Amino acid sequence: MIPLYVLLTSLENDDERSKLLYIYEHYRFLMYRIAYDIIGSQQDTEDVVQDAFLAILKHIKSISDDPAEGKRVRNWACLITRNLAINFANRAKRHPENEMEIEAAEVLALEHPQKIEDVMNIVDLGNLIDTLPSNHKDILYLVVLYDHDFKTISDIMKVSEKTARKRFDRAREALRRLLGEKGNIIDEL
Amino acid sequence: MNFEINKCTLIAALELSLDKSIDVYTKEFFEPHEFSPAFKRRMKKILWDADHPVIAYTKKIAKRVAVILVLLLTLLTTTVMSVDALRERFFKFIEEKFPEFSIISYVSESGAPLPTFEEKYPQYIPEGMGLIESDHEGQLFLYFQDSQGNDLLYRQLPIASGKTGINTEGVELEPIKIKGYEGYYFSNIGYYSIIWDDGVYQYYVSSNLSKDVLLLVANSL
Repeated sequence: MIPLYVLLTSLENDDERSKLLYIYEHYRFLMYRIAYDIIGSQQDTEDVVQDAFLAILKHIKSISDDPAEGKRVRNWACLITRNLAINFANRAKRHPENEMEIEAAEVLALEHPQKIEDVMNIVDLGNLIDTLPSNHKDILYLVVLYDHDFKTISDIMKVSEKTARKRFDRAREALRRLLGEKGNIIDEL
Repeated sequence: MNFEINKCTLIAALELSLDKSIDVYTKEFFEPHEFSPAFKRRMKKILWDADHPVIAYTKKIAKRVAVILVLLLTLLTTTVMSVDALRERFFKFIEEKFPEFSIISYVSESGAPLPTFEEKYPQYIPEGMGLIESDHEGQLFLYFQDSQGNDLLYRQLPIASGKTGINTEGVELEPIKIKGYEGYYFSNIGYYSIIWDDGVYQYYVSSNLSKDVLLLVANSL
């Protein structure tokens, strides 16, 4: 693990530091709530939120957006928090999304997708994507929307790079199946 | 089907999906969580360090060096002083045996019971000083600073908890009394410091302001 002071000295400009402060001031309650819904205990949730801020601190360079504009930075911070919370809960076996249930959810998503033929607009397509298991969606968000490499994702999700790659491959495959005859489009992602 | 699924629409749909999964937490009112003091302290430190990366880096390095020096001193000497004898002996010990060395060290009597830590805060802090950093784990550490860059450090540490090191290289120790307890005043590299103990806790106050300010702070405990 990279020592905190190395991370801190890597924050080269005020912009990155003010981003961190903005996230703390505006989203800490939201981050807490998301993590608490998964973990269910105040002490553990606060620990996870603090870990999320350390992860944010470590990777804040990869986010170029102004946090005050749009939801992109908010969603990113919440995504990191959610993944750390799920990870924590999985370790403690308190979250339904343990490995067995993830597998079951994947099978369910693959066997019973909404029909691509019903998709008439972006909202419908978003709804279709919603049917994917959350760990598949989250890795798609991180790779496709935030352009994170697998090293960064393994650090954020606290899984090995190999697992992150495998999860992404499975997420792509699940999405490909969801999209039916349009599935080849994901090769462009 | 008129709707075309391409890279752009897929990315837009992914954004929409992520938005929804987060928005669901913002649509209903929820009472903001009252974060625990421990969380606030830890976050304050992270945010403060992020805002002062060079100082944070220097402090981390300095702490490591100090720990190494204290461990070195401990290894170099077999002398173990009892808490009772501490006040009379510890400065003499440094001056006579290690005149070239710059560390004052407390070493507790083996097996001495650890007292329940009772934090003692100075009631006087110079005007304009704000608390920048604090630590409550095994010690009370307070670091204040004002807008001119003047700073004040206060530290309270149980003597029986182990060892601590303070740089006194090349300085003269001036005996003083703080609330009836013997202590020493010294100045070094533009900083004025007072160190004393009451037999249970060691206290250390240091600032670049003046000796008079230090005495006011120390006597306000």
